Amino acid sequence: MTSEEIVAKCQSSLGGDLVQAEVNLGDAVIYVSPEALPKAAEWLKNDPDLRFDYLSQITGVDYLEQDREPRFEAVYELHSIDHGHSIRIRVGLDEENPTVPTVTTLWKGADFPERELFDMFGFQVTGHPNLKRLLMPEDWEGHPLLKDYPLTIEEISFSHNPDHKSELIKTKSNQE
Amino acid sequence: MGLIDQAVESIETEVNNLKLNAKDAFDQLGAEFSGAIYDSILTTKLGKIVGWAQKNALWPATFGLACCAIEMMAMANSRWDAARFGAEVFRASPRQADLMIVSGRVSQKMAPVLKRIYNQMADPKWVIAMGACSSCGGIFNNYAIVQGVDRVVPVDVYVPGCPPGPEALIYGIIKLQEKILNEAGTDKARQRVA
Repeated sequence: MTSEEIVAKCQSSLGGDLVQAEVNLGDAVIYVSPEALPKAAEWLKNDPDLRFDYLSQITGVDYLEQDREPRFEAVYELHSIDHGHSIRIRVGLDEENPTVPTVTTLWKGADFPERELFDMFGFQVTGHPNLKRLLMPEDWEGHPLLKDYPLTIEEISFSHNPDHKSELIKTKSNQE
Repeated sequence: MGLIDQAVESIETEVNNLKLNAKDAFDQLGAEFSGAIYDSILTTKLGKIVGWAQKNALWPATFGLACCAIEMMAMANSRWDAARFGAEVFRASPRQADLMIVSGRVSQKMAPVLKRIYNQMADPKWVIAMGACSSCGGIFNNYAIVQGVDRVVPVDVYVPGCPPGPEALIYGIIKLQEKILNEAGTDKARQRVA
């Protein structure tokens, strides 16, 4: 199936669960709410025409200061090995309490990517069998891929950038 | 004077001559071998000679972490030949090694492993921080990398470079050998094995 056909099929079958559906740069992209994700994912996996049997990756996005609502998004890339087509699911998440239901019941391989999602973005994955940090040490504070997490861990003491010193003074005076 | 007296006198002269000859011979012998004693015996402190032995047989632990490890391997091979300085026997077990060359960036998750391997090494032991990353974090000023391995283990020699060439690492090893020899026999060396 082409991306246009997939999007049209999703629109007709998912209906109210679908927030938005589009073909972006040739890829089929659907937007669903976190509450509708398990139902939509199950339908995408089990529908005989679609049969998305392979979840290749899960990642997150932080749209801080990007003039976009909601702030967070969890992104799922699905492929069908039988039919040779793909779809991307984008799940918009609340800034206050980003929570997304697990898809490990459908795709076992979602276990580690969902742990990474929790580790790097702090999204609570409800129903996950073993939700703890994957990449960072277990006693680490904060979630490094959030846009408001500090980019550098240590202050630079010297630089080849001639403007570095004046920039440093400026940021210091701003902090004070 | 009788014949007997004459005979006694001549015998005494002969004996005296023999005595003098023997004395000369012994003196000559003594002069010949007296220098040899000073040439063949060296006086030093035990600590100094132990340090000298340690510096000439540094056994590094195999601890390659990133691109610096390639240069570290090059240092051991025949072209740069660290064996000339007694530092070529890379040991796969930390219990047989006394030098840890931290070659590459140390991630937050690797830091406990590094500390554990350091603790497993027998005293006395030394650490070389090879390259910018293990010395200060290098270009990786972010959440993933430990900003300098000296936050985890005590470092003796820092080798700068990104990555440092094998000759730079050999120079670092020579500097470490100088340090070991200078420390030998002092309280610092004693603390290392205490």
